[in-house]
Amino acid sequence: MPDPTSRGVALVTGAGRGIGRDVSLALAAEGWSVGLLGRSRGPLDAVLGEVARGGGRAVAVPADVTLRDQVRAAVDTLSRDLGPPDLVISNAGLREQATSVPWEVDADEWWRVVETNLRGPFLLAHEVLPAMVARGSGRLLHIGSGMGQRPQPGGRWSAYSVSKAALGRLTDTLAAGLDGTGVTVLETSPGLVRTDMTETMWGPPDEQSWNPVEQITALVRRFARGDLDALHGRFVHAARDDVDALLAQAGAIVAADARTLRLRPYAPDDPLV
Amino acid sequence: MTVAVVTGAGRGIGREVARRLARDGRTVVVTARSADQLAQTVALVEADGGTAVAVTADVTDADAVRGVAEIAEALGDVDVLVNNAGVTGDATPFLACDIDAWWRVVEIDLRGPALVAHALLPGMVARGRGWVVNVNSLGGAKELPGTSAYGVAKGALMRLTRFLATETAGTGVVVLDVSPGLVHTAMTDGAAIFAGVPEEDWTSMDVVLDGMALAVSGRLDALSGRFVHVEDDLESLAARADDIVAADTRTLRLRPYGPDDPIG
Repeated sequence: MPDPTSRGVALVTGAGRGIGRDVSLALAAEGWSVGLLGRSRGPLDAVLGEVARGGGRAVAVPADVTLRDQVRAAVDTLSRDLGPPDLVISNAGLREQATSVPWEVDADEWWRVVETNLRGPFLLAHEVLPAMVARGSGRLLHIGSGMGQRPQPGGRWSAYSVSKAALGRLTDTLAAGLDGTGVTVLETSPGLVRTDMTETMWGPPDEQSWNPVEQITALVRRFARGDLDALHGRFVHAARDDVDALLAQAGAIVAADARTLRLRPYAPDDPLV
Repeated sequence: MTVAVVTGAGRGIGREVARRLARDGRTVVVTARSADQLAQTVALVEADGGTAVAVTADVTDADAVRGVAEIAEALGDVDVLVNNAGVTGDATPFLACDIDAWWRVVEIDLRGPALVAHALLPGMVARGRGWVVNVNSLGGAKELPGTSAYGVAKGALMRLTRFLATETAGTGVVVLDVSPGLVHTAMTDGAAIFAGVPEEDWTSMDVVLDGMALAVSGRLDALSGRFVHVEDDLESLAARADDIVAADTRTLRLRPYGPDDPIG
């Protein structure tokens, strides 16, 4: 039975299903008190019930991450009921409904994806960071995607990919501003985990190589404990990276400004780099 | 006569690019939020003997952008879009930044180019000819002072350019990120993030205009999807385009920590 007072307060967005649900359950089992943020009350209550049955502690804080007032109200409610968050997992994500060439995706839908995947983490960071910086501690994890970093087969899911690149850049710029404050920000990708969102992204589910969700929950637990603080501002892949190997060369990674989104030079003497 | 659409054409680089494209023989549709500034651009184009049509529009307004596209298509075959409208925002520390101002930068610098491309690409693809130039910046691929919405939006724009190039490959349409470098305009001279940049790091407007003209000439087509700077040796860059494309360079990627990095 987890001791609900032994860790701190975590906030997970998109907590009602998919990876957010698994991450919330894993953190609760570790003794974190968890704020479950999502758009729909029903799935949040179901996760709340699971946490409670496991002896953990959580509250449901329904909110749309793209709406400033709702994000603020959710953080306020969480802070009142469990305390201000020490750990924030910006996980809520959206993709366009159907793959198509970018100019055939509905322009408003395209932007709605960017709002969810970029504005959401931006608003949440803006809401929680002042208190973290004031306390001199706190951790913020962005759930990104390799799709923000490299070309995709067929080139599809443009809104999702562009928004995840933007999230990588947000991680980078936040990290620069948080240097020396005691607050850490990291970006990760869970790999291809089978969820409602990913199930039909790349074709028939039984033809995909799915990554087990346990890889991302394990990484979140390590990040929550502070194990990854040396990689502040960087990208770590939960399924493809050997985290201990990365940590062993964290100093070199930071010195080389690696694991950030940069212009790839055509040669070592590319004048732009 | 072919038609070019230039956004943010009421001043600065956009105005000069519109004048250059008109001198090179295109009808130019110039857009900006300020009708007065656009009227001055049109007058300058006409004084050069060219043809310009002003359409007042905010590039973040989807309906207004559709209106621009309709007017442009009615004038002729649109074969050039220069997505130039952009703002830098302030170099404000994150905790002090104004949420609405920060997000507005993202809307103008990312949603704007996406909307205009969305409106004009179907016609270009159907006709099998077109150049989309996204005016971009290395600021999208490095750390900037403050917590920069500009750096976030311009990085995302690089990813969009790369995507659009993949999707338009083989259609006759080319999409490029072109950095004009730092050019003295009302915007850059007033921007805190460029304060203190030494004079030798600024680019002359003539170099910018030659680079833009080259980008829509067909001579850089092999670099579709890539980021180029007007101070690059653009012809030699195009000559090595096969290598650049094969290694997926001159685009935003995760920087690896070494040759053994499993990512990147």
